[in-house]
Amino acid sequence: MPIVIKICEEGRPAEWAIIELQGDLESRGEGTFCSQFIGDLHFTKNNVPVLIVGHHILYGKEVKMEKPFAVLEKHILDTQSHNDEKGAVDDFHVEYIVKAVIKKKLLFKTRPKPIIANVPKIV
Amino acid sequence: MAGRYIRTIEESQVVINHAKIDESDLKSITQPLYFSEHADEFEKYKFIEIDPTLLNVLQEGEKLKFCGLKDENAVLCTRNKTYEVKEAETSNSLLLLSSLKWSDEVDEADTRTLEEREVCGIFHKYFELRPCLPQLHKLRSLLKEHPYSGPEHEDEDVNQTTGYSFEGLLARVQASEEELQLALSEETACCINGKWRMLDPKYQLRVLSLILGVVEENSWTFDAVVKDEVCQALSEIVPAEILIQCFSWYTEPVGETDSNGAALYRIIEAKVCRFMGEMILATVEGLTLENFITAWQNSIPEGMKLQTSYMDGLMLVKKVNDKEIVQYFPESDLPINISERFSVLFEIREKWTYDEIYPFIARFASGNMNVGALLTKFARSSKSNGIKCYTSKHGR
Repeated sequence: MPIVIKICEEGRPAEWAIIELQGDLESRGEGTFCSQFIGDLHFTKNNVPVLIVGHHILYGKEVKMEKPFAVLEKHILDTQSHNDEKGAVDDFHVEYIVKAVIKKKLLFKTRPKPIIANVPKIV
Repeated sequence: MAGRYIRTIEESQVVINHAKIDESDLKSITQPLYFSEHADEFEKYKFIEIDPTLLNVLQEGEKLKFCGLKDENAVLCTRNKTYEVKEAETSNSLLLLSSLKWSDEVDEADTRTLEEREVCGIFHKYFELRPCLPQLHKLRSLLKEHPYSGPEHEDEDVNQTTGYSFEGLLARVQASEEELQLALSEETACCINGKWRMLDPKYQLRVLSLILGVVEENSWTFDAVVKDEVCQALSEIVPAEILIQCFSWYTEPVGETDSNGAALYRIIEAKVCRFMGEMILATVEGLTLENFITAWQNSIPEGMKLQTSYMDGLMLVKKVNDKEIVQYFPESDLPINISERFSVLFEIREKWTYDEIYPFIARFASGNMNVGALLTKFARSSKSNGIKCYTSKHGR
């Protein structure tokens, strides 16, 4: 069965953004990322984005994406259980909503530079 | 969860100092980034790379579809195009934000302010789309499941379940609606009682011969055929819906009427000749070119003139012991993956001229990639006896 992708009810999808970092972010301590603070994003007066994460500073640039992204959100419409040769199967009836489009990103592709100072302890 | 850490302007400024940045070089809005409370649910989102055309299609409110059965790679279909869907992975981290101020949206002000931004999740994967050909092989085999060979062969009970409706085909074949529609007419598929089926070639030959017979009996020229009279003359022999479709494959309206006001149609010579030629090629093996041409000439109505180009994409001529032998080689049976197709072509023949190979790859040409460009990319060109030839890139 074809899976439908459609635009959100409100019509035009919102424009969202991506911040692209080289490598991975690691969580301080245990647990999930949920609600955690990541860092401060600034722009210089010359429009260079500056990201300070923990003890690291990154300089990036604003990039228009050659191929924009659509952000699809999965919706499960209903679940039907039925039996086939292999036994009971759950058939998910799914559709995707185009939640947003992303046309620009902030790209931080250079290695982070360390900040050599005693950064005050974060609670 | 315990109270979330709240960034203050002062903390932000301390870090700016530690980083040895002159605060006056920075614009006055700082955007502290947080993971959202639901950042662990980010998997409900998928990124899909779209080109500006697709973006417009979406913004105009058109629905797109992922198509494919469980054992097939997914494709994405718009109303008129098909795209292959491939998952891509990046080692970079993509942080998704539902709002962000870009450099030109950050105004200058005297005092620093903080505007918090939420990151919905970190992504390393996205889907890429590549335009691809619709899955016509599958369509062809579905259409051939129940060939129609005349009303006398139809079992009334079976009739209800025989063949596929347009929707049924769309659900099974990875193709957009318009591509499917076009393919059905190219394949000369017939809609019988709402179900799409191929005519058995022998039956199709019979219907076409009957139509041509009516033309001859009435001594019409090939561009003054009266459709209504053809239908009337054959109404007892061929079911109307089949006759009308079959008539439409081999004729085109002239845009004029006869003295009685009936619309006139032209028999398309190329299509009639091609069908007759294909019938011969598909049934008789190993004919020499000369014998084929003779048989072909005998099969077409008097007054039509053969051109070998009518067989483009259906026939290959091979040299065997100084004899030219024709071979049935339908383009439609070749792989729909372009590099696989090139290897099949170079396997069957080492060297091709542009005109020879053209009908077998023309399907892949698109706006930014014509046949010449395809050959540059997938083949090697050389000159032999002053004639430009194409050979395999990975050739001997």
